[in-house]
Amino acid sequence: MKGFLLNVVFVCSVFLLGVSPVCADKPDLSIPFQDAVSSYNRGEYQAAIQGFELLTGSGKSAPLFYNLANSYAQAGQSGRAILNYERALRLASGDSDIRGNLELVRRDKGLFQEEQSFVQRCITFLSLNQWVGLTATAAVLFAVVLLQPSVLRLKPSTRRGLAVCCLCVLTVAGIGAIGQYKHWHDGVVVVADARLRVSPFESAASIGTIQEGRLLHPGKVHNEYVLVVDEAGRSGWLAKKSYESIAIP
Amino acid sequence: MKSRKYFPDTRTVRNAAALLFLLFSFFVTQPAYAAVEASATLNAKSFPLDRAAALTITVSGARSSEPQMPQVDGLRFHQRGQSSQMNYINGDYTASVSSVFLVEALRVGDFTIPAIEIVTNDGTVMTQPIAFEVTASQSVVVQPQNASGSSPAARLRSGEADKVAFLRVIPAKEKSYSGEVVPVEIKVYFRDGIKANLNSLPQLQGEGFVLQQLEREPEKTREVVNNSRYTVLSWQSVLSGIKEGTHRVSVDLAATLLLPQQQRNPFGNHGLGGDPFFNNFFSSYHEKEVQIASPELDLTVLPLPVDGKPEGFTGAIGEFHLDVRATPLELAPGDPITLTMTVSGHGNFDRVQSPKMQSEKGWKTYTPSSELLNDGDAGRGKKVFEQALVVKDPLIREIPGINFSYFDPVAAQYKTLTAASIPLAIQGGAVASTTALPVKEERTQETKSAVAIDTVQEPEVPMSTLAPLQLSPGSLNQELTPLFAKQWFELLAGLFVLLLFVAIIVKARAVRYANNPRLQRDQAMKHLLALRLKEIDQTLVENDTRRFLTACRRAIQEQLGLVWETEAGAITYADLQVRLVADSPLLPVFRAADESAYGGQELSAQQMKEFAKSVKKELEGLL
Repeated sequence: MKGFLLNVVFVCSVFLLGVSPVCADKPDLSIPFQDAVSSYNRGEYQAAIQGFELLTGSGKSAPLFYNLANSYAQAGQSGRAILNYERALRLASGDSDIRGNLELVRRDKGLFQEEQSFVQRCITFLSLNQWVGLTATAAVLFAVVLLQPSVLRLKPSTRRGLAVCCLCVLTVAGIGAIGQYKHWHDGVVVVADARLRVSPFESAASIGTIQEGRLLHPGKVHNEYVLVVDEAGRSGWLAKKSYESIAIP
Repeated sequence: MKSRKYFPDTRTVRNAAALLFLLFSFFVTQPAYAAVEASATLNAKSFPLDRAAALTITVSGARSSEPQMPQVDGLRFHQRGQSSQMNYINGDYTASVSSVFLVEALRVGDFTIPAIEIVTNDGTVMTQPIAFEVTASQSVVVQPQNASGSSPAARLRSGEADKVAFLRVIPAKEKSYSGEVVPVEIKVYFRDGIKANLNSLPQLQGEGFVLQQLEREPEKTREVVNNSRYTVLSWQSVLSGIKEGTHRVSVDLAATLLLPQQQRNPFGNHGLGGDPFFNNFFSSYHEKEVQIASPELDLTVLPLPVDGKPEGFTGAIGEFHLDVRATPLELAPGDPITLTMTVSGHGNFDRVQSPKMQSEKGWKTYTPSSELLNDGDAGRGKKVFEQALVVKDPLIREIPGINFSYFDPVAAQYKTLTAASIPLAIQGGAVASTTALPVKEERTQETKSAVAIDTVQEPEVPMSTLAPLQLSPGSLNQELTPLFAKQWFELLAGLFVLLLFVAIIVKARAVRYANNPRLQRDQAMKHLLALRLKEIDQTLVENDTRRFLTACRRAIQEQLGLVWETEAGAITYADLQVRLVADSPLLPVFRAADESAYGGQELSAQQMKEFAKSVKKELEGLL
C-alpha cells in the first residue's frame, strides 16, 4: 500500500511538472495589443500588421489571429488574411465573426469554394482538438462502463446500452478527428500568381497559376519546392516561399 | 601376379607407339606433297570512301602463309588476322591458311589490287588481280530498318561512320516565327555492344533558341543503319525561337562509354567496319567520358508581322480552338458565375493567356486560374482557364462574347476566335439552356474594330464590410498544435491506459474467482483455518482446556465440512471414524473435545500443545 501511494505521488509530480509550463505567467500584452488595434482603427493597416505579428511571437490566441487577418484583409493581402483566419478558426472553430470575415474575403477575391458534402460539413463542425477531446472522453466512459466498478450498480441492459452509445460516439469522433487531421498540415498561397510546375525546378514548365489565398495540401518536398494538391485537385510543384502552413511549425 | 599376364609387355607397347608415329607422320607430311593454291577475294566490288572492304587471301595446301602486300597508290592495307584450318574428309587431308586485310581507300576512283605474292612453307604462290570501285562517302544509302519497322533517316551522315555514338537533331522545320514552338526530335545512337551511361540530358548549344525541358526517360528503340545495329534514345521536344535572325545551333550530351580495350588496334577506326567478334574477343572494357554533339544546324527565326496584330494578342502562335462554358446560368444577383475557357490545339501554350470578354462593363471579374494539360505530344495540349464573375449591373442578361487571338504560322496571319455571348437568367428571368458556346473564327483585320476589351483594373480598397476587431487578445497561451501532441494530454492518456490495464487485470481475476468453486472453497478454507488456528493459539496461551477443545472441534468440522461438502455442525465423531483412517491424529482430538463438552475432561498443557500441533498439521494438509 505504501509503495502504491509513493507511485501515485510520483505520477502526480511528473504530471504537474509537465503541466506547469502551461500555467506559467505570461507578460501583460494588452498594451501593445491595444496599440495595434488603434493603428487599425486609424487606417494604418501596415502598422497594425506589424503590431499583431509582433504579438504572435509572445503568444497565440484566436482574437489575435483574427485581428491580424482583418489587418491583412484591409491591406489587400488576401493570402495572409485567409491564412490567419484559418489559424483563428483552428483555435475557435465556432466563432461566427471569423467565419463571416473569411467568407467575405474569399468572395471578394473570387476564391469560391466547392459545395461541401454532408460528411465534410459534419467533420468541419468541430475542430480537431474538439474531436480528439470527444474521442478521449468516449474512450474513458466506454472503459468505465465495460469494467463497471462496484460503485456503479447498472442493470445489464443499461450497461449494454451505455457501452453501445460510447462506442458510437468513439467511432464518430475518431472519424472526425482523422478527417480534420488530414487537413492539419494544409497551407495557404500567400503570393500573387504562384506558379505550379511540372518538376521541382525553376526552369520547369508551368502547368498553371494558383491564386493567392487558395488552400492547398502539401506532399513531398524537394529542395525549395513542395508537391501540392490544390482545392480543385490540381497537382504540381510549388515554391516553398509561395505558401505558408496553417499549423505553425 | 595373376593379373599381370593381362598387361602387354614393354616390347608390344613400343611397337604400337612406333606404328602410331608412322601413321601420324604420314598424314602430317602428306600436304607437303599436295598442290599449293592461293586465292584473293574482296567482299565488295564497290564501297564508299568512308567505309572499308575486307580482303581475304586464302592459301590451301600449305601450313604457313606470308602475303607480300603490294604498294597501291590511294590504298592502304591493314592486316586483321590469320587463321589456319585442317580438314580430314573421306581420307583426304587438306590444310589452308586465311589472311584477312582491311582495304582503306584514300580517294574516290577505280582501283586494281595487283597479283599478291605469298610465301608459304612450300614455296611462293601468286593471287589474281582484283578490280573494284571506291565511291564518294555521301552517296552511301542504306536500307532503312529498325525494330518498329522502318526509319526514313537510316543514313549515316558524314563523320558518323567511324563513331561508336553520334547524335542527330531533326527539327520539323528550319524557319519559324519568334516564340513559335517547333517540334524537334533528338536521337542519340549507340553502336550495338557499346555500353553507355548518360551523364546529362541533351543540351542546346547556340543562341536564339530555347529547348523545352526534356523528359528524363527517353524512348528507347533499335535501328539498323548501314548494316550496323544501333540502340537509339529519342526525345520529343520543342524548340522556340527567341531572337530574330539566323542562328547556328547544335545539341550535345555528356556520356560515359564502356569501350572494349584491345591490346593492339592496327586498323584504326576502320576496325569497327568488320566483324566485331575478333575485336572484342579477349578484350577488357574501359570507361571513356565523351561529349556527343550533333552537326550544327542553321535555323531562322522570323519576326511576327506588325500589320494586323489584334489588341488582345498575347504571343500565342500555333493552331488553337476555343471552348467556353459557364455555370450556373440561373442565378440570384451577386451570385458568382464560373467561366471555364478551354484553349486547345498545338502551339506555344506558355504564351497562351486567358481569353477576354469583349466588355467587362457591369461585371466584377477575378483573376482567372489556369491549368495546362498536355496530351503527350510536345507542344500539343489544352489550357483550361477558370474565372469567377459577378454581375454588378442588374440590367445585364448575358455574358458578353469572349475573344482569343493568336498567330497562325501556316497561314502567316493573325486570327481571333470569338465565343458567342451566353444568356443568363437572373431573378427568375428566362432560363438559358445552352452552356457550350459556338466559336467563330475571324481574321483580325476584319474584327479589329469590333474588339474592345475593357482592361481597367479596379483599385484595391479597404473592405468596409468586415466584422470589427476583437478588443481583447484573449488568453495568449493557446497553441496551434493538436491536442494529442500536447505533453499533458499524452501524460493523461498514458495514465489512463495504465489504469485501464490494471483494472482489466483485477476484473479478470475477479471473474476467474467467481467462476471457479474450487478456488472459492480453497479461499474459504484458508480463511477459516487461519481464524481457528488463531483462536487455538489464544486458548493455548490462556490454558483454557474447554475453549481450546471447542476451537479444535470447530476447526476440524469446518475444514472437513468444506472438503466433504456437508454441513460442518453435523459432522460427528462417528463420521470421522468412518471417513478418516483409523490412526488419524484428528480422532483423539475430536473425541477429547466431545468428552470435554459432555464430561468436563481437562488436559494438561503438554497435551494441549500436542493436540494443537496435530490439528494444525492435519488441517493444513487438507489445503
